[in-house]
Amino acid sequence: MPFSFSFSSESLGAALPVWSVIPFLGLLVSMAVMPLAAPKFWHDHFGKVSALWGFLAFAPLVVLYGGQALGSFLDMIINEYLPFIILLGALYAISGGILITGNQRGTPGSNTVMLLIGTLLASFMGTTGAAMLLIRPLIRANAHRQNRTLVVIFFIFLVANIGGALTPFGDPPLFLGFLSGVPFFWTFRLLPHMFLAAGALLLVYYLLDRRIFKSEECAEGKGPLRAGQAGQKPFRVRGAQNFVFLLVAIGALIAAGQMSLGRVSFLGAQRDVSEILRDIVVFLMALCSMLFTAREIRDENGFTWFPLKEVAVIFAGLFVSMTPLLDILQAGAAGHFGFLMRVVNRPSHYFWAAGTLSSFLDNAPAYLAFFKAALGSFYAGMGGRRAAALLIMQHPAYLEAVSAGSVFFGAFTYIGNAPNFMVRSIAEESGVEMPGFLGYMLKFSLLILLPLFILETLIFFSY
Amino acid sequence: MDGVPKIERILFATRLGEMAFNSLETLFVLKAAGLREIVLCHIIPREDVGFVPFGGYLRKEAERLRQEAGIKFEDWRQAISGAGIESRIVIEVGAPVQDVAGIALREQADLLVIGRGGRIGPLAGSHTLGILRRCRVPVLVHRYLARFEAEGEIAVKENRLVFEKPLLAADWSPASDRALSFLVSMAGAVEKAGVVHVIDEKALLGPDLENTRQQLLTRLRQRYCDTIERAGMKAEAHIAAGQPAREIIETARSIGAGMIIAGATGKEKPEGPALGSVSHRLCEISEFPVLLVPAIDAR
Repeated sequence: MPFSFSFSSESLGAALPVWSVIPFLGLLVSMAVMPLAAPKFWHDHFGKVSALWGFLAFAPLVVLYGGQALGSFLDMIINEYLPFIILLGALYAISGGILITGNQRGTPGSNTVMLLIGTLLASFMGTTGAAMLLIRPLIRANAHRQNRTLVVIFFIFLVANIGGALTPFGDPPLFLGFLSGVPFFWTFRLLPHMFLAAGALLLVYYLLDRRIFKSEECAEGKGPLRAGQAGQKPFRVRGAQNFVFLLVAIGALIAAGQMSLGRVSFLGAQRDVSEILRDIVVFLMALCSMLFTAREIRDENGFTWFPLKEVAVIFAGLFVSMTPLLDILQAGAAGHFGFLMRVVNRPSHYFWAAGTLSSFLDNAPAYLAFFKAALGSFYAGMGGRRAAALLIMQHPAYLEAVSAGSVFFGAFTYIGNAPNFMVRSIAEESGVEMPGFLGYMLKFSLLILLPLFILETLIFFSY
Repeated sequence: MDGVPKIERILFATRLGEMAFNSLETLFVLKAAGLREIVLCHIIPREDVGFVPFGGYLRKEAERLRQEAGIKFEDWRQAISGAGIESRIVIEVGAPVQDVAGIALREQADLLVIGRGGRIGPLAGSHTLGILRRCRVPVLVHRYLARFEAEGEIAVKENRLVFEKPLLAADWSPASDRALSFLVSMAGAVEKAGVVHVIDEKALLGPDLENTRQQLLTRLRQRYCDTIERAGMKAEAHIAAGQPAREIIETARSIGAGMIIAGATGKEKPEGPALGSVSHRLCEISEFPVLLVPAIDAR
């Protein structure tokens, strides 16, 4: 069959069968189940698992629908996956070049301040970047504490997830929204949502940890260092030039959204020239960070590309396998998931539906799925960016709900967001007792996050 | 020249590869030079047990690898103890390249021994070079069996008597002086040492090459050989010309040396450890164990 590239994903979405989403579900289930059921196998073979599901999504549809399906996959890879990985990699490289040293005293008060700083940083250097920057100093500061679990759990809640709600830099779902036409500063609309969530969590943390701290007896010789005490190292930030690289990268993102330099065709997929320039600048900033940061800083940070490689490999499979689902959702009522738009039809529904999916199946695909569902629901068959602009103008609460749900619920389980597992891994390696998958949910998420999210719904999405 | 260092404690960092124990055994002769303790070190790569995608940390797997290394090390400790040397074990999860240099400092090791036990390929791979670039204490890059190419033939060299006859590569630099001190500290284990200097291009193009050669030979004897002989070892001086790393290796072959000692004279970073192009190249292509001594003792 001769292939001709076409990007009418709306017509393709209306024609795609339900079974075309099975590989996507297969990969999501693999991501959810295999780290728990077969962690060693998953650790050794996750790349093959991801590639298999990606292939199963790609091959049958290209055979059945030819160039139209191929075009849709290429569009996803070139316009969504590549910029996503470039940004994630850049943030990872840049934040890995910043080192915080000094043996601060880990008390309920200082930990709360550190969590607050991390929460604020997360929106500007990414949840992964902020988490990698602060988790080791936080664990070091609390080395004398008997209970270090609580602070790491709240670190996952706040720094690895909720703190990233304000900008497309903050959390991968929001960057995917940015790539689909959501303006850079639009996500600042989530400030009240984040303020409530972060404020409440910081307060709960402080009260809980203060109680624990009082009951703890610091071991002899391991007690917190006090000012002037021998061995105390002052607080110090090294690799500060990386903040400049970060600012330039943020500037490139903002500028690309304001410029119109025309479009070019690459492998049949259309790309804005401004977006290509943005990706080049972001990549160059990562390169500068690697070149102009002392090796010792990265060594002390325990910097390794391995976690990023893992995310890049898994997300390659994820992006390819979710392409059919997104096409079907964008087709709205004409697609096989038209019923979804009839059932999920209020902002609160979107908040909980996107959130539930984010909790158990990673928040980036969850965001895209419900973002496209919202677009398909109101503007079926319309082009992505135009539909996104109309959604923002006419029904912003839906996008707020999808954004907040995807970002906030990422904290609900270890598998909700990529930094969660990195933080857990570093904490466990450092000897912090972390709860298992169910323990995390039962002891912390259900007791602390669930009431908070109900409160968020009542205040912001109860219409 | 700095005060004569002592090799009292060695950090033997190993990935538990083939022939690693054979490499370890070659160090026992340093007891005659004052060696008191060998710290056996194995870093379990963090990537083997951590960062399970959307999972976390493979605690059981880390424990299994720790036990595996521990059992092997306990076995080795018997042999070390039999040689009258004390030993300790350090097994950690971390980054093998980045962490080894830090552990050497932390353990106050006088010498770090690294290298693979495999039989083929160059002496040092990216792993070894990564450690060398970071390390601030003397490092012996060791391989028990090394395959090399000479005169178009592939040969295998067994590096068993490493310390008997070392060859010092000298270039009058502070790092060379430091390497000389280190050689002197091994006096009890060394019978005879060679010293080689490779003439640079300018001298080769000079008007009286033979006179220059004789002058360099005299200088080499006065500055290096006399010190070696005063420490109770025999010494012989050699002058070579050509590509430095190749000529040093060629001299080592011709005198039947057991190892090459050189100063780490890299200039890439004045304030930190560095690896010069000659020492880098020596580690890459030499079939001999290479002992690199930094100009400044970071301890």
